[in-house]
Amino acid sequence: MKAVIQPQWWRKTLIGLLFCLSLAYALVALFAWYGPGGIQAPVKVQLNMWLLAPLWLTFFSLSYLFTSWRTAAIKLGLANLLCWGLFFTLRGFS
Amino acid sequence: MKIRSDIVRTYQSIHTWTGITTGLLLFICFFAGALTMFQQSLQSWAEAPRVSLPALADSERDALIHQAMATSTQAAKGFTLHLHDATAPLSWSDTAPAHLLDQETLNYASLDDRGELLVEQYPVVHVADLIDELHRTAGIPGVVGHESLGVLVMGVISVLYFLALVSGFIFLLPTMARSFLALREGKGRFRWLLDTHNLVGVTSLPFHLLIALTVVVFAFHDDFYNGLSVIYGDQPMFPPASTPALPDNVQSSLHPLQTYLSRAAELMPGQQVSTLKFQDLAGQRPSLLMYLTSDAHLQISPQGNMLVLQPYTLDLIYSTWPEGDESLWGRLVNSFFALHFGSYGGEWVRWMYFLLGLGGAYLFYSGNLLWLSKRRQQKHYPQARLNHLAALTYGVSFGCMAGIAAAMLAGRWLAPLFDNLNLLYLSSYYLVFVAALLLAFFCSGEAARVPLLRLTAALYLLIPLSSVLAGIAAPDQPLWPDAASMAVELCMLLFALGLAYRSLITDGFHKQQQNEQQHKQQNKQHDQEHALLHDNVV
Repeated sequence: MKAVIQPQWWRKTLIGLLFCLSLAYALVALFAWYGPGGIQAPVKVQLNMWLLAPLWLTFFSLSYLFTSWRTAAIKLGLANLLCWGLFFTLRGFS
Repeated sequence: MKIRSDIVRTYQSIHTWTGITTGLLLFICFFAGALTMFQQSLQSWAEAPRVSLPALADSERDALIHQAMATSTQAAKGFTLHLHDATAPLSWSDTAPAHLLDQETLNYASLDDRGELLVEQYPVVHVADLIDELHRTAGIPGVVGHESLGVLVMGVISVLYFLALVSGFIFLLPTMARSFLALREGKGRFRWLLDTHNLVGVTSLPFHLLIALTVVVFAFHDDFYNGLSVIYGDQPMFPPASTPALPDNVQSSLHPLQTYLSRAAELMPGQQVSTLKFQDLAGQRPSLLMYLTSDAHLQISPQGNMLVLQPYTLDLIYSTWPEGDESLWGRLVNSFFALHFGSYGGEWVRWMYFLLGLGGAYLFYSGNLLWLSKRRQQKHYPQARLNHLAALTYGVSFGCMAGIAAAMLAGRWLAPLFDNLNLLYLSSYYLVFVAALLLAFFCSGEAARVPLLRLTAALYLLIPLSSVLAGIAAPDQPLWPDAASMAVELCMLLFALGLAYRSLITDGFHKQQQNEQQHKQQNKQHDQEHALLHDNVV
């Protein structure tokens, strides 16, 4: 049987808010530099800014699905590492 | 749809608590927001009765500009052309107000039949702006940095509101098929509230998600940009400030109006110029800001898309509907604004957003009542504490609605007694809002509902009645200066009827409930007497 979701409201909320925001920034960073138009496309910075809130809040609102704050921290942490790792690797090569 | 019960329970808790903490502030924003869809109509209602200056043909406007600039040094520095405004074709301000609440006087100008300049001065009431301010801040005063405190509070509230939307949706999923379109009448107030809450919530979910996300961005865009600047590193995020200084060799005289209109048609084909704002004409950075509207385009603001030109060289300075390299990104960004403001698709979309806004207000109001009903059923819950929330719910919701009506009425009737109409509007709103809250707490909640409903209904009824009374007093004046004013009053009448109807139902419901309780008590007494009798006999 699968583990039942534990509430752990404050810890999960804190993890969700911070880790999901950082994940949203990582995805937007990838999109900004390596997405269509690249970093120099004019006006694209505004769209990049607009993308943060939908990504952040969608991840955040779904992060209560993690069974505990520990799994939330571990899995969101890994996703962050992966995205930021990819971003900095790409930036290092270019 | 089957969903694990622990998931449903988790999101039910989230929905309950994010809902109850955000509902009332959102109610204010949504009710005022629905009204902002027709802020121009409300503005012209508030400014009536006003003499309107003669409208001019396109060919006469250049002569008007020329004469106005020759007559007034202020008009020579800057003025606004209104191409479709009934009030006057041209206006300028002698002193720009420093604050929204300052009383501003505008000069309106046109030409008479002999081509002579006509100028009239009117005090401007910022009704549209004040309603917009209430919509943006929920009426929370104060400024932090260069942003209103209310806007920042609503940004935080909107994060919770987004959570409430997602969690409400997830928590409804298992019973969605059964309950989405079910409106179960006659099964008690709780069922009815729940069914309508779900129906409104699910049908307008995309709208609400969009509003929640855009409000978070409106409140925190500076912070988001600050974060982005780390990612951009050495890359500049924005081009350097772009209002170019005036070249020396340019002859600084305005082009004919038709030249500007042609240039606009070239830069934003298919969109119609409604307003042209000439600014700083004698200074170092002259500019012409044009608003363009179109039913077939997304527009970045309720006034329309913006196009800024150098008025002498006709160079493009800024456009919210850019062409070329910027077009994709500019238009995508434009769409977020347009979807928030409902500034696309013309009148139909305006009405749709108006109804969605009112529906949103109902969503939050019914949400609060559901929260209360549920806890009233749990006997172990401290009932006295619930009275505070009931008082807050009725006080804030009806206080906001009544406050807006009171402000409109005060503007109509008390205007001659006050120098600053903006302050009159503001103080009458807050006065009635606070009075409604006090009344609600004084009646400890539930008992305040019917009186507040009646009060609000009466205030909204007085708005169309005012015009009728004014019409009786001065039969030679038209009852309504324009169609917009008539529509406003029709709407207010509908509000009044709706509220009065609710008050009748609620009153009936209360009486029924009291009867039932009395009945129960009588039965109980009867049973007790019966038992006593029985005991005695035995």
